Amino acid sequence: MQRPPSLITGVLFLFWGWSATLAEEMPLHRQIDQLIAARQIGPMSERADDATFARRLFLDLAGRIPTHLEIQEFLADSTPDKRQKLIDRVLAGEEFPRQMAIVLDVMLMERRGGTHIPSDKFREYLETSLRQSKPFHLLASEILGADGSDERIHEAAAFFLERNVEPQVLTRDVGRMFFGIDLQCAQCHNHPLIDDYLQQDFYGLHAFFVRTSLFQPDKKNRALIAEQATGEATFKSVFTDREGVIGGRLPEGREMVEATLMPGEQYRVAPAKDVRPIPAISRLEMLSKAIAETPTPAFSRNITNRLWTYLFGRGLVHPVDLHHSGNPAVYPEVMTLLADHFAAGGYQIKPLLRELALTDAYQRSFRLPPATQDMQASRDQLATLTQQAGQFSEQAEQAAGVVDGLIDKLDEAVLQGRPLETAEQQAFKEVEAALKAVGEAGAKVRGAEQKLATGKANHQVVQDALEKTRLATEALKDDKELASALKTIEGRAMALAGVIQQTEAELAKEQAALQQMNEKLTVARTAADAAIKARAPHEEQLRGMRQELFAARKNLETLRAQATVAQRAVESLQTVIQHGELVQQQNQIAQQISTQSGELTELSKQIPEVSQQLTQYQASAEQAQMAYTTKMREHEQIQGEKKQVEATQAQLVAAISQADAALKSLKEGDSVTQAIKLLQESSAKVDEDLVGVTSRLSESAVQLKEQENNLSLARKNVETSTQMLKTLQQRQSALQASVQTLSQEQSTVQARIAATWNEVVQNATHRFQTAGLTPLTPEQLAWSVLIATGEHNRQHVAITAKLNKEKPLSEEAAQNATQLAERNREIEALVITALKPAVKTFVNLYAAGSGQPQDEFFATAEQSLFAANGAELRNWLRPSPGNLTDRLMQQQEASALATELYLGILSRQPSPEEIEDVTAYLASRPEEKSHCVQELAWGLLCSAEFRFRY
Amino acid sequence: MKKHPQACHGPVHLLERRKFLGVLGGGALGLGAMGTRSVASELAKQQKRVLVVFLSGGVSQLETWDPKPKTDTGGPFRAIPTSVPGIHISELLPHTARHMDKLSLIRGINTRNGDHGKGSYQMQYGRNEMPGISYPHLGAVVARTLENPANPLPGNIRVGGGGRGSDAAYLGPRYGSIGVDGKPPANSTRPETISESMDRQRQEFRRRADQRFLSQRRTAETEVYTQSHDQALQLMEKREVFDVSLEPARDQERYGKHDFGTHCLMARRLLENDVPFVQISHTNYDTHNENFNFHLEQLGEFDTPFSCLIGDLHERGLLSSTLVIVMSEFGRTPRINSLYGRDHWGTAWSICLGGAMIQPGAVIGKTNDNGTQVIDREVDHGHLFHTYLAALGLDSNTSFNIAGREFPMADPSKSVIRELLS
Repeated sequence: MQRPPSLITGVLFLFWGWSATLAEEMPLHRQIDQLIAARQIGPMSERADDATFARRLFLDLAGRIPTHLEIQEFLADSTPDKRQKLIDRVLAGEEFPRQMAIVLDVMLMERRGGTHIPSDKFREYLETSLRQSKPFHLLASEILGADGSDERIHEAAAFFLERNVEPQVLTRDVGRMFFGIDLQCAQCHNHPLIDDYLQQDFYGLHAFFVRTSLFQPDKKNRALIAEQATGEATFKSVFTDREGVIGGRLPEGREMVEATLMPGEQYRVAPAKDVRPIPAISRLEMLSKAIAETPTPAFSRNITNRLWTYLFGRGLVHPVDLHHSGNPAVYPEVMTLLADHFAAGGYQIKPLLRELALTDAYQRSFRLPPATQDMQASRDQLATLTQQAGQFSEQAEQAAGVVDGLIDKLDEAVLQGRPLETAEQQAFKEVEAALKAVGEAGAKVRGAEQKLATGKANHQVVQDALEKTRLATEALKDDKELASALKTIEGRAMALAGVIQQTEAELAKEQAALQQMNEKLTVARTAADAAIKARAPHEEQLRGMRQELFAARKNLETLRAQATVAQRAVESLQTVIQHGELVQQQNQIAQQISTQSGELTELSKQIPEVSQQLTQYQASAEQAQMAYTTKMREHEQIQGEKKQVEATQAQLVAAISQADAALKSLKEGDSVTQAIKLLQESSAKVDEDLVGVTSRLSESAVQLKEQENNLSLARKNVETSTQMLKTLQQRQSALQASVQTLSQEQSTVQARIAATWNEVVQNATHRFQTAGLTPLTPEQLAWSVLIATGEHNRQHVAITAKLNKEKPLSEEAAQNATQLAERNREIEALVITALKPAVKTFVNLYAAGSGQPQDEFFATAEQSLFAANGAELRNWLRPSPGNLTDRLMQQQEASALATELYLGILSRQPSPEEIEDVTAYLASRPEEKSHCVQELAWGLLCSAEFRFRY
Repeated sequence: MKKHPQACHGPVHLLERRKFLGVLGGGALGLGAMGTRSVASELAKQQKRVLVVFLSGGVSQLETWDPKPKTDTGGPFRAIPTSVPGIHISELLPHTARHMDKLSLIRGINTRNGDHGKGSYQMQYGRNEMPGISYPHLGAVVARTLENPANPLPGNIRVGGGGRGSDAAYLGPRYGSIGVDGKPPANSTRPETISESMDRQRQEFRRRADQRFLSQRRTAETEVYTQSHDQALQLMEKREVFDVSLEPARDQERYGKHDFGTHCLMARRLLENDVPFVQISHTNYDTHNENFNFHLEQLGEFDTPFSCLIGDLHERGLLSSTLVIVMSEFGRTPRINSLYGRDHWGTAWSICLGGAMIQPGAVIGKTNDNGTQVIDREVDHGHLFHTYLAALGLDSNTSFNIAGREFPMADPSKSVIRELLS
């Protein structure tokens, strides 16, 4: 997809200032898509086909692949809004809360459980909460406030109990799971690698848990969570010796103001042996309440990012527990939008997931089209982005200075407050001492009172006896013994009255002492109150400073995040540009190769032509040479003839002149004269011959010249042609070398194109411009195998039949929708119970260990051996009425069988090539159809396509 | 006696090592399962292995590696000379003494702990146990770092017992220990209903299906997944590796027919098949009473098979690439109690190790005359853990990157005992 460059730069202004005005008019999913589209870098995938969408949706929201019937139904549906309908149907289904409970359970517990609370129970609690549409912040509040004593939500305490209520562990995991920050490395010092995580953040969270512990004096009874009223989150950096103490503070929240209670007021149930203490102010309760009443943005960002991760296979912030400015969301404005929307909508999971599933981003294909973009525009954009990244970093640098200054100021203030803390502690000690003294004095008063009461009672008894005795002595006046007894009794009564008097005095004394102690206590309490009050402004000041620091940190984090986002965009764009340039380079090379190859082809036609012509020329040159040579010989012959004639003539002339001379000296000269005459006749004839031969010779010379010309022409032709052939051949070998070089260069460039393309794909996946590949969770894998093989259906049918036989529905009930739904729920619950062991087998093999991160994929030979040779899969594939193998066996046509096979396992139609593959497989062993069918099913169940969600 | 190859200081050796370290230093460790492949291919050429012999209960350093005869704490046994002049060990280990030239001793260990569980954790995980944090076992670290995808055998094996240990922490179950008791792993035989040719045919169909899908998108995770199927098939072919009864009767005789003997022989078999990490154990060293009788008996059983194993590894050329560590959770008190026993003691004790890049015949650290304190080169489990990794040619100061999170391989506050490395 190509965008005009103006939009790209325009977006930079929109970038951080995404206004809420549009938000109100547009559904969330459209807003998300617009934000992503506006910041697109590189290619983006098209909408996935229907089959891919359906498989993805079922896996995510029902925890399994669609059944062959469900997928067929969806593919056959031609209504335009069928995707939305499917989303709504699956979200309304029974499986959704069950699947979501698994997701939340694994997220919160990381497969811990079973020591104090069975995992299934916690999962049920989550499922019930989801069915009731309990807002997520209230669910979190319940979990983080659970001390285990509330019978109705006892299971909620699993989060604490299964971590043995270890404060460090709770701090870390509450930070990770509820706020998306892993503060573990900030426990002993500020985080060494992450600038945003300060030691005080760890302890701000730790303050909530520092007073808690596991309470289980008797192993026979359920474990509970105990909380003390004292204990502070104090810390000291092992690097800098920086000290601090902090009250409870949620990440990004305000530090909580907590009333200071003096000894005696701190507990509702005081700690004692085998007694679970209950503090007057519970920090867990404060935490729980804070989350219910004022959840922080960090809280909303964490859960929305985790839900996003669940649907997209990767977080906007990734890893999900490392939210910080060095690792900001890939689209910060989408992150904020989601978190705000979630909070504004009452923390409801289902509607959020619905919106996410409706986005184009969710519905994209995993096939990425090749990148096509305007290179110049991209380079311009890169320049702008680079500049922007630089600016943000610079601003962040300055903001960091401000933060450092505030931290130093805070440290100083903490030190200054030390005497006040000490004074308060001292005052508390005095209150404690006074309380003890009051207690003791009170005990003494109670002792005296007891003694007085006893004395009075004794006196009363004696007094009564005295009265009776007195009456008796009056009646029996002479009885001396009686009289004596009366005396004794009188004496005793008197003595006892004395004791009473004495005790009363004692009591008064003790009461006075108590009074005094109480006064002392009042004094101590007043002093303590004063100390608390004296420290309060200081505390307030510290809180104010921490808040100021917090604001400065927020500012710094925003700037840092902006710098990081810009930097990431720069890097992504660089990759796209690099890739584009390589493609261009490759195209140029290909162009060159093609031009040169064309020329080579031309040459390969020309060269034979030229060389043929050369051969011809060479032949004619040879002929011309021969003609010339022949002519030359002829010419020479004539020349020879001429010479002979000339010689003859000369001889004749000589002979004549000799004869003349002889004639003059000889007398008888007739015969000589005769001879001369003869000679002269001969000479005339020779002269004639000479003329003839001379004429012939000159004629021949002309002809010879002609032949010579012919020859030289022919020779020239040969020479030219040879030269031409040589040139052409040189050009050919040069071109061949060049094409070879270019081809080598091309393959280098192609390798780099492949490498950069991988990066482009990865970046596009991280930017949600294309869908990624995510492994199925162990549960998704188990349920998908059970659905695909038809084992789930087999169990369903069997259990339905059994239930209908044991508890038949009345005709009336069978007509009643509510009762039918109830019956279906009952059946499904029984099916789940029946298949639980199978699912457990998968979890044992395919899940990471308990307490470990569950998001790292691994594959072992052990798993593959289980799939290849284990009894489970083999049994489920064995033909049984209505299961996959049975359905496949009923197909007579190979292509129909292939379709049933692919729809049932991979939730899509097979391609022609795949049909052919299946057909050939079946044809290879026609007599073993059942085996073949099971093997084919096995092959697809073990394929990467089945193992991954795409 | 043959000069063993580990005493190699030649330039070729150094070069190879540097090259190897370079590969590791290049961040290959950080790439997850996929990234380890380039490391692994380098390692395939020179597979390293680790054997841990764990003497559980707390073996006495005074009756083994650091005897103090004729002192108030020394007990009744003598110290005997070994194949290294100047090094004496207890007379309870006469066979081991003859192999001292292949081994080394660390005599200055102070782990500041006297608890079985904590000590056992310290020594095998290289850190102190902390609530809420779990670290991977040495075996898991080794299995991960020395992983060779071409070898289908599990990377982390405990001899004796069974099942899969959850000791790999963040490295994931792929590297968790597997208990082996002389039987092949579960599901490693093809069911009778599926013939070899059927299996081959269905696997080929699966591969074709994978090819079609993966030509559209291939990731590190899909690679790991498809590879695991092939690994399973290879493992099926190698299942006899786990059958110790296939070892020659003569060797079974030599090692002894008791459990420890068999386990030593099994360890040899596994190491020969390039399993990166093997752990065996020998128990009954918690001698609060009758320390001397028990050590006499137990070390008598230990000495022969252990020395056979060291000798065999050496003769077969494996010792130069196999790190052997004899460890315990702690030592025992120099003070002899009223029951002729010795109690738990982490203050000054010893281990024995050798092979791989450990300098042979060395003694590091020293205790005082009657063994009550360390007086030279005090080290603890953290240093030892670093040293084990360094002896395998690994940079123990690097981190694992797991799903975007960094986990230091060894305790960053501790370091390697450099002088022990050759």
